[in-house]
Amino acid sequence: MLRANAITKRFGRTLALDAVDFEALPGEIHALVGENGAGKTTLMNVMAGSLAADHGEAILDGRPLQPGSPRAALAAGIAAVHQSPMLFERMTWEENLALGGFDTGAGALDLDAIATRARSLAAKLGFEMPPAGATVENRSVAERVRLEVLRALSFNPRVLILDEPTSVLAPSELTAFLDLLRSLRGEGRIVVLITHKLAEAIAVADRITVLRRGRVVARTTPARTSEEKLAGLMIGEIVTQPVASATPSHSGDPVLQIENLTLDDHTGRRILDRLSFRAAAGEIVGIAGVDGNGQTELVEVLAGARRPSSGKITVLDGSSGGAMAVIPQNRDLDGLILDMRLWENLILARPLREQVTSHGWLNTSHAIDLCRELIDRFRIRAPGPETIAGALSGGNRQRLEVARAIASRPRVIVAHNICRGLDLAATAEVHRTILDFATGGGAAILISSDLDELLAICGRLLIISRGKIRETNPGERDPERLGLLMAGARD
Amino acid sequence: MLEAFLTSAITMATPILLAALGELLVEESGVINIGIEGAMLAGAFVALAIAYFSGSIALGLAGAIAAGVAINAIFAMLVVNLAVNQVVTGTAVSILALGLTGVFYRKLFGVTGKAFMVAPIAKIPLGPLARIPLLGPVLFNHNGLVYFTFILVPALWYVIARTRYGLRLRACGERPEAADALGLGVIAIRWQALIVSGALTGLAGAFLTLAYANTFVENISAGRGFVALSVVIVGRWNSWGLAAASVLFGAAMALQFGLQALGTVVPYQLFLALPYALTLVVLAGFGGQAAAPSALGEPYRRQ
Repeated sequence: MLRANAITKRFGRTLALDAVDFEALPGEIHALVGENGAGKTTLMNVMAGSLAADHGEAILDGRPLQPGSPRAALAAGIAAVHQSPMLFERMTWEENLALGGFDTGAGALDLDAIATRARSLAAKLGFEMPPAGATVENRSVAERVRLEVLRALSFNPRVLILDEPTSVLAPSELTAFLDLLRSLRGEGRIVVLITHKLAEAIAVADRITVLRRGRVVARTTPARTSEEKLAGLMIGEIVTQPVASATPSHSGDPVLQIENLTLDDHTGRRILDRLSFRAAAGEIVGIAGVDGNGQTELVEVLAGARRPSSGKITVLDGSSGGAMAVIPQNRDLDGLILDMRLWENLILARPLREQVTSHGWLNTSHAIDLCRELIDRFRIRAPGPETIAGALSGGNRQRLEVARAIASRPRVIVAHNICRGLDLAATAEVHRTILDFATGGGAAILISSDLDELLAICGRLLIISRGKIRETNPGERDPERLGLLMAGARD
Repeated sequence: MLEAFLTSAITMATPILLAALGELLVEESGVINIGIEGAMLAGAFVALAIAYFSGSIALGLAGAIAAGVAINAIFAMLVVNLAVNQVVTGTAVSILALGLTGVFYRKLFGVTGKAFMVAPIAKIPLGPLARIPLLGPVLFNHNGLVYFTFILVPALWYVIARTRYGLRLRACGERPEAADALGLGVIAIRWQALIVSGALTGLAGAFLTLAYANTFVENISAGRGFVALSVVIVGRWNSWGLAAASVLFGAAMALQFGLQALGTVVPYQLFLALPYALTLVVLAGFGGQAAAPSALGEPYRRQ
């Protein structure tokens, strides 16, 4: 039995965990649900030894775990799969797995034997492995998660803790993945699934523990609860319908026009293939696709970080402010500078910086006031403008980015996987903000692999597949049919 | 003429390569040690002092290893355990060693200006190999330290690229927090790399006093530690590359001596600057960090 006894953990002024008790039994899948910043990941890190708690202890089968020692936790049989995969980017995937339990530790290091063992386990799980000798840096997010899951399983753990593992898996992989969790349960292991997808928790878990702001607010079972009840417990208030209704496809003035946009990479491979589409004022356009079909590159080209091989991007601009604001998917790497304060991050956007500078001098107090105003308006949970961005939870970082994009008053917002890793409340808020933006005459392009999200909010839906884009008919909203299109089917 | 030049190039390359190989280990673990100049100086001084007073080259070499390890232990305590800025600490260690060796040298040997000479480390000709024309004297008629250094090149390549230990070392340099989560013990691994590197750098220093100058003068390393740092970059963090780069720099130094000896009208100071100018030129061309470990120079601290 895995127990956490009255665990308290503080980061500076933030109380991340407040005397949390948690218990998971062998042969059960225990879902740990909660909003962003509720303390789920912190609890995982304490149990996996990556963090030492201030008070309390983690106990496995009656034996207390050495605090702050991942090695001791692994030796005791606790393996963790982190939300952002803990992989070594410039090593091959075989080397990454060799650092896990596939290596017997005896004799010379045998990468081929490790790869064989990994492939046989992967075959059982229905995972597809990268080609031999491929380094991790060029693999997709989903492939990385698979590698990390494999590496965790390679330790043959008694306890497997997974932090939001399913948010990046393709629908076809999801079923196999949940089956895998069930079969691990069948072997008498303890599976702790951290998730904010409540339907998933209800479908697969035996018991559910709900965290809110560092405290356990409920322990329940799927039979005794529902998605709505869980959502209410997580957020602590009655949630209205989380997602607003979809905008009708709008016939406002065209704002963004993209013609024959083509991008070849340095090897001459075609990444984006003659993309043409337009977006009108007041419109939310969704671009759906399986990750790795050119979305990241499209965002980079739109952001101006990459020069297209040919084609034209026109923003028909009438207003002041920036023409286009881009919210990239990797907010920690591309969007925010985590070591800088919130207000400093905010004025990295040129339109906002221009607002608070005159004759080349920065008016700091103006910037701080502006930041405080946005913190209130976008309900960013932070002590104040002087907070370091890295101290915010994932959801609040995303809110900060959205706040920055919208405050720049662009004509067009391009957002990539904007709600990935966000909980219900944060997703609903971000969506509401985007809707308000569109209603106010802006055009939003949402790029996502989450079809449900796009169907809920977008008036028009495009499908991107292998660098090509195609429009769907307004009536063509059957998820199965769209899934086929995303997979590359040609009618 | 050519033979003398090439032999001299190999001799000059040896201490640089030895120090650079040590630095390679350290950098693969994610630490950049600007202080190798200091460990080298300490090794050079202690080796000479012990060899002079005891008359034993072996004791001198052992002393150099101990001195290099001691200097690196100070560095490791500061940058690995206390997560102090690595560049600042390395610079401080260099200056500290420069000062300490100068003070102790004057204390032990006085300021008579008289050179305190020791017998050089004996050369070991490798049997018939040493009799091959040109190649023989250039490659196979050196002291043990030279052979040791060049044997280290494939050995270190194998350890880093092919062994479990090398994998863990690189993991710490690539992403220490992930290595930590896998229970690898980042602090221990970085310490080990620094200790081994300290021994190698100390020996590199001993080479300067016991095999090359046969005496000690203040600042005898004369920037070779920094040259070793650039050798790691020019050699693209690959021990074969390091060997090639070291020989290149060794050749530049040998050329400088040769040109001085020829007595050209050009002031000899210009030739003295040649190896360093070459360092700058080569770095300008090879400066890209693409091959550097991702977490190089970043202190690792748990939250």
